[in-house]
Amino acid sequence: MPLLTLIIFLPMIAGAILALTMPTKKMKHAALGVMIVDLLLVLYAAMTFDWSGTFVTEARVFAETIATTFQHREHLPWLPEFGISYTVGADNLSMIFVILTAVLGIIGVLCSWTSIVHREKEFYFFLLALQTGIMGTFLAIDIFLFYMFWELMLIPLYFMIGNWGSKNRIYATMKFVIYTMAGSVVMLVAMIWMYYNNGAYNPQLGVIEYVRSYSYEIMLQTQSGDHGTFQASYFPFLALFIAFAIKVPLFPLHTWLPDAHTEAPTAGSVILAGILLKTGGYAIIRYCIPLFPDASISFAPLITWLSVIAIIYGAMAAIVQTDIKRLVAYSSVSHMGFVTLGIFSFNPAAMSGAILQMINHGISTSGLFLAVGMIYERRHTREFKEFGGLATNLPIFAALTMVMVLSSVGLPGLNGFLGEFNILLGSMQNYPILMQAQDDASWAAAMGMTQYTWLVALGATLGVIFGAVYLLIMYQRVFFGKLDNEKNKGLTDLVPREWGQLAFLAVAALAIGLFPKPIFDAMAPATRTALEPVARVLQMEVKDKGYELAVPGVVIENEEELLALGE
Amino acid sequence: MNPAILAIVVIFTPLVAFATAMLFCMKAHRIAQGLILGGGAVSVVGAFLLLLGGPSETQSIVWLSSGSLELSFGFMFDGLSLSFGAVVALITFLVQVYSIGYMHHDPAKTRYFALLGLFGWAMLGFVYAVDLLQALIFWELVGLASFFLIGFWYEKPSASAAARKAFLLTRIGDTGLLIGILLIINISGMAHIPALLDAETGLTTMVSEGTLTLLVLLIFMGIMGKSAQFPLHTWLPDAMEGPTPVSALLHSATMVAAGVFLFARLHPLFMASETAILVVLCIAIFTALMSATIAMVETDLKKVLAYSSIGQLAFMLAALAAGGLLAGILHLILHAVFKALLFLCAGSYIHHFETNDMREIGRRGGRRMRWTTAGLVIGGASLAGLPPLAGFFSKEEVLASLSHGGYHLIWFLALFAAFLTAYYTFRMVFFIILPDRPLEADATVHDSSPVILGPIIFLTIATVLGGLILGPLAAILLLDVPHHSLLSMLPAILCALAGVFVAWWDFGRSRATRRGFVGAVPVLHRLFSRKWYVDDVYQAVFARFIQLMATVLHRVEVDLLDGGADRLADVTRWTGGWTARLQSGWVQAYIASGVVVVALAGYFLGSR
Repeated sequence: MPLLTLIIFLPMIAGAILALTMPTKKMKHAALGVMIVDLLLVLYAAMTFDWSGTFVTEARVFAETIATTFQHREHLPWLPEFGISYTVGADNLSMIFVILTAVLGIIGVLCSWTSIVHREKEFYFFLLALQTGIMGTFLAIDIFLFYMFWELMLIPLYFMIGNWGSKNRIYATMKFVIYTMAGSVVMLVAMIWMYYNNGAYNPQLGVIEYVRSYSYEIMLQTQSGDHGTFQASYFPFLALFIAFAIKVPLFPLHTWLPDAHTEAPTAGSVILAGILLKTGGYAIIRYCIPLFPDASISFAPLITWLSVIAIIYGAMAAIVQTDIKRLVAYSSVSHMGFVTLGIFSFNPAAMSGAILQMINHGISTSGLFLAVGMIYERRHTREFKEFGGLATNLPIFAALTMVMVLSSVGLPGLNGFLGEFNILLGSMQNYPILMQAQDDASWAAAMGMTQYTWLVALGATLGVIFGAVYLLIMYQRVFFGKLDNEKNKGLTDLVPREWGQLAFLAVAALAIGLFPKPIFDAMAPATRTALEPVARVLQMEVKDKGYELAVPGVVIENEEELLALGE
Repeated sequence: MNPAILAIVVIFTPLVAFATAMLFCMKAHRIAQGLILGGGAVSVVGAFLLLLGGPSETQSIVWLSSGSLELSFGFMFDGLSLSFGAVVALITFLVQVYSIGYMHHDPAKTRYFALLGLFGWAMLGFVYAVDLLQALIFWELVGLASFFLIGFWYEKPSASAAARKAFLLTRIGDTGLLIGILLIINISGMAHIPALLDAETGLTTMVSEGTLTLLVLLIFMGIMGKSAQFPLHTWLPDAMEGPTPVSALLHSATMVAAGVFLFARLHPLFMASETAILVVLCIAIFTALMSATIAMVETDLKKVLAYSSIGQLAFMLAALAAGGLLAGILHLILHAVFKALLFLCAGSYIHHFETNDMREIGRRGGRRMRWTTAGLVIGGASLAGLPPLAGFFSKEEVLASLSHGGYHLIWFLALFAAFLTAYYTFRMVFFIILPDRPLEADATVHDSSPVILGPIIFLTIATVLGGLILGPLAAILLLDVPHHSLLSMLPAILCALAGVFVAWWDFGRSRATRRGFVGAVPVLHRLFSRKWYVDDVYQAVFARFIQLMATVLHRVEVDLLDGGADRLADVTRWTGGWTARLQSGWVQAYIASGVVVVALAGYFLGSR
């Protein structure tokens, strides 16, 4: 059974058929049904998935047979003369995000239940098509196919914000599309470059052997040795990274996000914050780091600093917002700064922290956007000053929002803390490439750190405090105090459909916070795969400095062989 | 029984009670109340069974492994956690009983009791924690419970502001704690407390003294936040906005003591750094003096007690830093008992008179509430350090440990702080029992109900007999009982008596001015009544600084980054508009430009 293909295309195709055949009133039920079927398929795929990280199989790409770690793999030569194939497959990294996507897809339908009243059919069709784009982005392992799905994500969201958004929606949607398209164009150029330059130097023959293909698996294979042609290629790395960094979004490329989030309908914000931003982080871990380890190491200091700036900057900007939704949007900038910080710390703890942070952000920020949406639906405003004392007549709502706020603040015991904790821990651990610039006898070296990592960790920790400031102020202004605004007195508490969504996210937040071991075990193979190329590069540089391991915790196989090559 | 199972029962019963009450009993107040009290009772029985079982091996399981790091979840059963765990469970239960009476008329009773359950879980989880990260998690959860309970009456803006202030100030300290823990894990690769404390293979053998100083001072930041030491102390007086039983439980007896507990828990690490010891001593003694001077001019009954808590916590920290482990822990436990007593008495008055002003309580006949007044006097005498009450023994140990450690200046200052403590405590007592005008024959003044008086009487007896625990406590902590001659105790006793006498001279005797001796120096009086201007400085510097910085950054966002992107878009639009003009439909122009292009092309090609 072509399981992954079904998971990817079911939402869009079913959506198209339903939009043509269903009566308007029934469309949302049908959409919900499709999302649930999709989730069941994903769960089936997850259950038949080998999470141990030891899975390897022989697979064919066009005429070649290669070893691959991707599971549930499907391969169709699509345009073989151009090296383009339809190849989908899942590993631990993509599987985690696919599950998140399927779950948030259902929430996306539920939160639109009563808030979308006009042109329902189109709305739910776009929501389902968006789901297809996202699933495809996570599951494609041919970079051309990846590009197609990456662009496919954009179109439904363009219509969703443009049609069903609030008053400044046209500006927001244009900004969002132009920003993302600009990134996509450079990404496409980089991908064509990768197609033409994919190969490895053959020492026996003394020539570079090129493989003309867009297959990610083939690229991994040709670039995995020490003769890959992508070494020292800064341009394609940067082009890819900028495209992904716009999606993350990394400071200073973030300015589309507050507008897009604020103007989007609730479902748009939830999917945008919950999943779309993650495609950026996912793509960095998937493509930038393993294919361009040299460039990644070279740019790591810059990206790390930008991440730290994003963390503090996002928090500071959030403090001065007066619109609840904008505040949550800026908190996204701050939280996603942790993700890039974790990824570019090149350390298993930080990398798993970054993946977890993305999941956490998917839970807590989606929850906050849901909450904002529920308020907005009742009062049609999102200004702080209109609210106060809502805890009095909406106690369930207040309690569930509290859990989301605390998860976002990073309270220990809930999920948010573990992601930030691991990222901070990992970013402190010294990576020797940065030591080169430092004097090893410095006071920071005694801490097992460089002065650089020390500053980074300190800056990031400040972000943790600020996070508590703005979210608590927001919460207290809205829920605490006297219920003195006449317009708020008649508000009714959540109905089961509404609190069900929030309660589900709250339970997920608690579960990850209290029992993190399974999820860390599931992430471990993904972090290993992503970091091994970087570890190989670093290992050669640090061996003579007397360090045991370049990247703590990542053991490189065939190390003697590697060192022999290096000399 | 296996102590780990017992510990799970002790810690998690309150959580189960909390969750059940929160989820199913929002309307059924009585059931919720019963659940929480039942959970509290189970915890008390379990904690005392653990205590009777004596110290045993720690037990833990792997909770999280990432990279090469393993973090564990488990319980420590040494004298420190067993003794303090029993005290925490007991006082939590007593306060829950007391709250039945105190919160009788509150419509949100269920939420209140449920939060007490949440607090019990978090606090007990912290006390028995075996891993630094586990301790941190429960430490933060304790802070969360405190946040909710301070802001329990969230309709009051002052209450919700106080809750936020408490959360943020403790969190500033916790950032230091978090960095410290991260660094410890980074250096040693572990967070298991017994392994870190090990004299042969622990943290002290891995790092130089300078590094260790930095590590323990970072941890001390967390302690300063939680145990309200200068300069992070300002949240505690504000926290008195919460219901009085909460003040008794969290903000004097147990939660704020968590910082001191952590200090005692990591005592060997602090002892390995001379600099850290000096820093802690200086901060502690300054906090003790400062809080005592503020309490001298405060008229809000609860705030006087709050400042006295800050001072007594400083005493504990000073004793621990001077090496007096037994002294610090003894004062920790006994202070929990008599300070809870004082707060419960204060609550009894406040419940009846509905005011926090102790002068007014005295004028309206506070002393007619006989049992409460007896508790207040005995608790106050204990706080002042009068023999033979509990506070006398522990304060005596604290002072002795300071002089044994050779810190004579600190010892002298501590004696002075003890004198001030006795002074302001009896100022409070005299305001209530000897009001400045004769009482009217008001028949409505009567003592509180038995559920309120029960815990008060229990704690009064415990305060009287508290000194007896010295021997058993030393035994369970595996420490020696020090013997002091009467002569060495004399300074402390004299200071306490002098404090009481001066208080009587200023406030008690019939011709007293009731202004206090600081009233004679207006500068000092203003300094003390403005609380040493700490809050004003915070307001002026930090709050404004953050607001300014945020505004500046916001301008960067709107004008520079976002504006820049919009200008870029404008350029594109403008270029587009300009090029569009080329498509003018004017045929002559097309032909002319065609001719020019062909001519230029011909010229360049021909010149090749």
